Order: sequence, then structure tokens, then C-alpha cells
Amino acid sequence: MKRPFELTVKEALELMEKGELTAKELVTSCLNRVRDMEPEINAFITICEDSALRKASQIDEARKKGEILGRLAGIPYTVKDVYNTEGIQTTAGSKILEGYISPYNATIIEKLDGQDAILIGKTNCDAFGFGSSTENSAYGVTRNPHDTERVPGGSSGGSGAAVSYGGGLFSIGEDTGGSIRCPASFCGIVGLKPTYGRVSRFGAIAYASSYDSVGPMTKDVYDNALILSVIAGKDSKDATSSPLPVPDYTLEMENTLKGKRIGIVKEYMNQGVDTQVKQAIDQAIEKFKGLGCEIAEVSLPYTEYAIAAYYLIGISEASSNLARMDGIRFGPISEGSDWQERYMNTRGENFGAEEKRRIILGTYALSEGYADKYYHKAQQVRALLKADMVKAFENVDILLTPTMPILPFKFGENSSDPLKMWLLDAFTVTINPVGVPALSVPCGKSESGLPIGMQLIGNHFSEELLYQFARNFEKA
Amino acid sequence: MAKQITTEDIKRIARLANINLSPEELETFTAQIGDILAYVDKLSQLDTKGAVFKSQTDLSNIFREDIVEESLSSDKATQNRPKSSKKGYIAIKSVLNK
Repeated sequence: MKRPFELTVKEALELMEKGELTAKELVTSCLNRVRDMEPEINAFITICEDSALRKASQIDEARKKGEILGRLAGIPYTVKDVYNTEGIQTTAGSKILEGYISPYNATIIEKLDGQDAILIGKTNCDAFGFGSSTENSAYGVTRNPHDTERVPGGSSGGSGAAVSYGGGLFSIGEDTGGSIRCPASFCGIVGLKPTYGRVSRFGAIAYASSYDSVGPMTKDVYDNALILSVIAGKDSKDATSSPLPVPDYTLEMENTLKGKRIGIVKEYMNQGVDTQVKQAIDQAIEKFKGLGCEIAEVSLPYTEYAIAAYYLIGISEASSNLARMDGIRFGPISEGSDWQERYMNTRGENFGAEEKRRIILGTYALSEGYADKYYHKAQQVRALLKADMVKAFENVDILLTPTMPILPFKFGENSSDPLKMWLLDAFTVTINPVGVPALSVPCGKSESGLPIGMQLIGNHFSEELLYQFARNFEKA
Repeated sequence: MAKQITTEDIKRIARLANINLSPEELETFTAQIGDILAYVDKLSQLDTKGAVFKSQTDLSNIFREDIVEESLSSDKATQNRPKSSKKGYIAIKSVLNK
């Protein structure tokens, strides 16, 4: 018999429906688990114990009275600390927002609240999403529950670790270049970067506005589809959100894969993939064949240029987005003899190294005389990357790659060389400039028991298809 | 090959970005940013003539009716102001000299 914090969302909903579990028992179980695990893992920046228990009691009360409840009634969850949550601190993992209390809720918080889900805390991350290991947080590193000497991935590493150990049944991460998929892979859970615009970004602290994607991190594929069904959709507060109707993503996932085509990207398998990761991917391919899929080799010739283009655009947008961190309207402010000195000291003292590096690089890439060479050139390469990817989907239904080329690594192993760290994101960063959806699904473990994830990439708005592949794989 | 970036370049850019850097940071960043710029320089080898990026999902020109809705009160919108500011205001040090 599973302890409540070990349940999936679906299992917990069924037990509560049958009256065999209360929301209060479930929330208490998760909060106790958090208390036990946090001294070692540090997945949370803020824990919302009182409000969570209060809401759980209200939901139990309402259920007793036979009131109609939301689709996620009583389910405890967490969000990455980049989402505004009314009355609760939102730090983005940076000291520059320490003490900032959000005056309003992000749209996803409103939607989850509207379905009676219960927020139990806000999770650690690389500051502003800048990183792949959660080592760049001002609130300490998060440790991987599968091996505490190793990173949980990033930037949504706190979300990955929390879902993995049962600190809430799901989390909402944020993915600008792999920040949902990398920690999903390293922590052995399911993480979706949806199509750009599928989920509203309103109330998310911006990293790179033309990449940022809001998505669910869950224990299994069904839960992921269920959460996406709740949070997706048009939002008048985010002009880039899509008006396309939102299906119930849980409905078509059991359909057969017979005759479906999977593309293997030739260029990706050459890029220094760890032998154990490669082995797990090869086994996954065999499994898909067994499910009736055809496998085809696909070429994405501009792959070699993707990382450079991704980062140039990403840091340019970041340098512009982070200009608002000035200490005037929110966050700590430093002393200085005039306004510029105060401004420079505030940012110098409260941004971490990776934030400063990216802002300076982005400012450089946008500066007079360099914008054509860097920013505009990268946007042109982006057009080629998009054409490459869309063309690939003329011949195959999805692409399959490793999520990360390597196993979860040890603390400090890559942090001294920022360029080396950036290159680890080769398979994940390519997706965001193009805007397509990509799902990371567990596909095996290393000899020492470390999780390995595969990435399923689909054409724009093909989330339903991705879930169908993933669910069939998970069940087989 | 791009020209080597110097500490003077980084100092100038950091001032544009309004970030104060320590001498140690200046030195580390100059080397690291130099490496990164050398890496991204590979884009210059690529022929991108005629390539134009429009949007991720082909959405364009999103309009809506201009309807007045309830918004944050000034109290709430300024609730994170520095402690020295009066309610509903944000006080800053003087920008213009008398």
C-alpha cells in the first residue's frame, strides 16, 4: 500500500472520490515528507503549510456537503519560484527579488486554484532559469533525491526533486531551453515543454519572452496530460497565448501506435552521448518497434548552429527583461552617491555570477555595431532551424532523442566552465527557438540507478500525439 | 575570427547594463565571455541570405476590445516599495541636481 505522498494525481483523486483519503491526510502526508527530506534535498524556497492545510480542510468540508468540486480537488502541488503567487514571496531564485511579495497571481495559479488544487510551496531554481543544474540559485543547491551527491538538473531542479520524492504530487516548471525537461530526465519524472503559446505566461517572471514555456512536471504521463488540460488555453493577459481549442489530453493517449513513424536525428547521436544513455535510447527504440512504430533516420543539418543561436537570442532577451530589476519598485536596494551608482551597486551586489554574465553578454549582443553580427544573425539562423524541424515532420510523426546526453553529474563538475555547461543542453535548447512541444519521459536507469530520460519532439500543437507515444511506451 | 574582447570592453558593457563588477569578476568574465564569443562566432560562417524569422506559431496581430476592467489598486501595486516611501507612492533619490 502506497503512502499518500507516493500516489499519482489520478490515484489520489480516485481514493478521495471513494472517501478512502481526505485532502487533509494527503496534504499532511506531503508536508511531513517535505519536512523529512528538505534538510538534505533543499527543493523548496517557500513552504505554504498554513494556507495549504486550511484549504485542504475547506475542500474536505465541501466534499462532505456534496458540493461540486474542481477537477484537481485536494491535490497538493508546487510551482517553480518564478510564478507570481498573491501574498507569497516570489524570488526567481535570485537575491535581487528577496522579500518580493507578489501582488497578484499568475494565470496558471488562478487556473489550478479554480480546480481546487492546493499550493504547498515554491521550488528552488537556477536564478531566473539561468542554468541546467540548480547550482546558480541564491538559496543553495538542490540535491538529486536519486543520489544526493549529484545535481537534479535545472533550471526547475527544485520542482524535479520535489515531485520525485513526493513533496507535492505535481509541479509547474518553466522551460526556456530545457528547464523542465532536463530536471525531469535527471529526477526520473515526466516533464512537458508545451508548444509556445499553449499555456499563458502571464505572471511568470520572464527570462527570454520568445522562448518561455509553462508546463507540468509529473510522476507519470497520465498526470501530465491531465494537468496540461487544466492549465492550457487562451488568456487575454498574454497576447502570445494560442486561441486553438484545448482538448482533454487524457482521452486519446491509449490509441495504438501501429504505423506511426519515429525519426532519429542523425546529428544528435554524434554529439558525445554517454554510452549508458545511448543504450537506454536504443532499447526505447526497440520497444517502440514492438509497439508497431516505424523508425526512420532524419537529418537536421543546422543542428551544429542551434546552441549558438539559442544563447545569443536568449541572453539578448534576458538582458532586456532583467533591466527592470533596479531595486526601486521591489527587491533590495543598495547605497550610492547618485542614481546610477545605486542602480549599479544594487545589481552588482544582488545578481549572481551567471545572471551578470548573461546580462553583459546579452547587452553586448544587442549593442551598437554588434546587433547585426550577433542578435540579427541568430534570428536568421532561427528561421533555418524552424524550417529544418517543420520539414522533418513531413516524413515522421515525432522525433526521439535523449533528453540529456549525459547522466546527472556531480556538484561542481561543470560549473567552473560556463561554455561547457551550455553545451550540455544541445538536445533541449534547439526546441525553444522553434516553438514546438517536447516531452521528457523516463526510459531506463544507469548501472548505478541514475534515471535516464528520452525526449519526444512533435510538430506545433501536437501534445496529444506526444502523450499517445509516451503513454503507450510507459504501459508496455 | 572575432577580435579578442578586453577588460575595457567588458567594463564599458557592464556600465551600459548598469552592473557594478569587482576587479576579480571583470577578469573572470573577460576570459569566459571571450570563450563564448569565439564559440558563437561559428554563426558567421553560415549563409543566411533571405532567411527571416517571423514567429514561432504563426500568430500575428492580436487585437482585443479595449474594455475597462478592474486592476490592481495603487496600494497593492506599490506594496513592495522601499520602506521610506509613503503608501501608494514610490520614493527615489533625486535624479536631477538642483
